Amino acid sequence: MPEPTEHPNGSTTQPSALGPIGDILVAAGVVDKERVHDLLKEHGGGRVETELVGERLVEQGVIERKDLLTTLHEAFRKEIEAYQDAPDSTPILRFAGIKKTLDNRNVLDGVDLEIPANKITAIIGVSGGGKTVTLKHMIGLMKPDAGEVYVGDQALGELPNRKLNDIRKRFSMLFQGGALFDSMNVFDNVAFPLREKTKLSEEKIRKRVKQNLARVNLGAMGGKFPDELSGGMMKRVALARAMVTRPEIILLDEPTAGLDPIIEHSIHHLICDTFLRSRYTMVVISHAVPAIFNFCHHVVVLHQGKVLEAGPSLDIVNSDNPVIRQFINGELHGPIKVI
Amino acid sequence: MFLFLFQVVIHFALPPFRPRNLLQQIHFIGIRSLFVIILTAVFTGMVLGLQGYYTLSRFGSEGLLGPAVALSIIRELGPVLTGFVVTGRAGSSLTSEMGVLRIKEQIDALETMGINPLKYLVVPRMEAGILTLPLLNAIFDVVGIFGGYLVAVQLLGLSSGTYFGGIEANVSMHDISVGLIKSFSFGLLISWICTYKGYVTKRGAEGVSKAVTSAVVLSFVMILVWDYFITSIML
Ligand SMILES: Nc1ncnc2c1ncn2[C@@H]1O[C@H](COP(=O)(O)OP(=O)(O)OP(=O)(O)O)[C@@H](O)[C@H]1O
Ligand SMILES: [Mg+2]
Repeated sequence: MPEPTEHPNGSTTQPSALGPIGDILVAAGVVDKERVHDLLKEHGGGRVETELVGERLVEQGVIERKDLLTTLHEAFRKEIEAYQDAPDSTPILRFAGIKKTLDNRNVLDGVDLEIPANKITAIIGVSGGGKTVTLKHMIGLMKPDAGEVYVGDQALGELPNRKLNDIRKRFSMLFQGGALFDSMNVFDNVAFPLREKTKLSEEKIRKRVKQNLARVNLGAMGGKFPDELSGGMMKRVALARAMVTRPEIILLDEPTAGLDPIIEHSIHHLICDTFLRSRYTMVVISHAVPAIFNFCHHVVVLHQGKVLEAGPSLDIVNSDNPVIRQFINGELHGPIKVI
Repeated sequence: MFLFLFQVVIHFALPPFRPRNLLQQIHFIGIRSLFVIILTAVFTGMVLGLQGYYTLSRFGSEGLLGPAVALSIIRELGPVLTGFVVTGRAGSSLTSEMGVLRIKEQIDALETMGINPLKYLVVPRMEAGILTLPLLNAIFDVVGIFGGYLVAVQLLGLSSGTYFGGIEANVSMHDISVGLIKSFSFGLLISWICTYKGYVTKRGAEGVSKAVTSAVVLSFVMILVWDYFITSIML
């Protein structure tokens, strides 16, 4: 039986016997309940197996991969519509008046924002607008000049290093540049956080790393070194590394920048797919406007060191704020001066 | 910079220990420097033998050539030149390695994983520096004295009994421990300066090359300054 998942707000929900993906597929009528039950019995259940229900069904030819993808996408679509109607999630991360000056520039000039728990939040804004800096504040890599960052109820400000490290164990982060360790091959890069932070046996680690690499379609690349990878592969390895520890909160800094449209799309799917399986809180910085609006619940627009607007993605995409309109449509003329 | 050293030293004593990392680093520093150390040592010994012989023979005391060569090498030239070679061969790559880790955000990545980069990256490198330098220094001493022997005995015809006997009679434990203390402290100095300069690198590839230059120059200068200091208190 899958273990109950504990939510950050303390409540526990008993997961259904079919697993999250199984539930979605059954509800959509793509596959019947008995089939999923049989499948799970065959593979012995457990959290990992229930999460893999979709792949297994495709492998066995019960459903087509295309159907799996469209069903999941449809399910996510319903999610964000429901979120638009009732955006009532408790925040898991909160900025209160964060100010940060770098090189005499007020990069963050009083940012107040909330990241809803167990939702996908996208942060968008012009290049150089301080998105990465915002993300680095969330995990304590940068310290604010003024204001406070809260993770749950915990203020990061006066936390001693050891406590901060405990909080960081609930996070993982994908850096804009990937930040893979050059001295290790792909497999070891992904295995690294498991080896360092968990007491899992080497056998279990290998299994999990393989699964995660397979999910980003790099199953055969384990032996390569980072400098032998293309930019897109590097991003995907970094994504696998960020997800392998099953953290509560995942911060993704431009997971799709510089990738071809197909891989961009597949990474968006992967993010939603991961979300539907596990309901991690995710924060995604993205320039993939407007595509990103279909792959997140909540959007925060950063502009000139402040939060210009924040809310359900379907509200933001229809916002009539001229800055946001210009940004979404990529127009040269408007309140944002380009040249 | 002192705060950096302080934090690192605290982490020397704290678990988790990673002996594999340490061995890797010792290997790295040792292998990188070994060949150049041997080369430098042979020629240093030979030139000391040559110079010493002509100087000493003016006063008719060629017999003291052995101890003259040995003492200069063990007390001064061994530790200092070993320090220089290690700085050039291993220290510079230590700085550039740390610098690249920094600018490519790999140090930040470690931090986000809840791993202390000082503990994980700097401590093993510093420990390796402190342990490896005395070892390389010992090799330098032996090879250097042998270099002196080549010139004095094989070339200039001094008897080998005079050469080695003189060394045995005149080099004391104190001399050796002076050399050892110097090489220990140079090891600390080099690995401290070189990892620190890399650790605080800023501004891309140019920043890394600046960091390397300043680490090497500072190490050279500090080795000489510290050498004078230790010599003057341990004479
Ligand atoms: N470590 C730093 N030191 C000095 N200035 C910095 C530093 N990091 C960022 N900045 C400055 O802060 C501003 C915001 O940078 P940031 O990386 O957050 O932009 P961004 O919104 O992520 O842009 P992009 O979409 O291009 O990644 C920039 O003007 C940048 O020059
Ligand atoms: Mg950025």
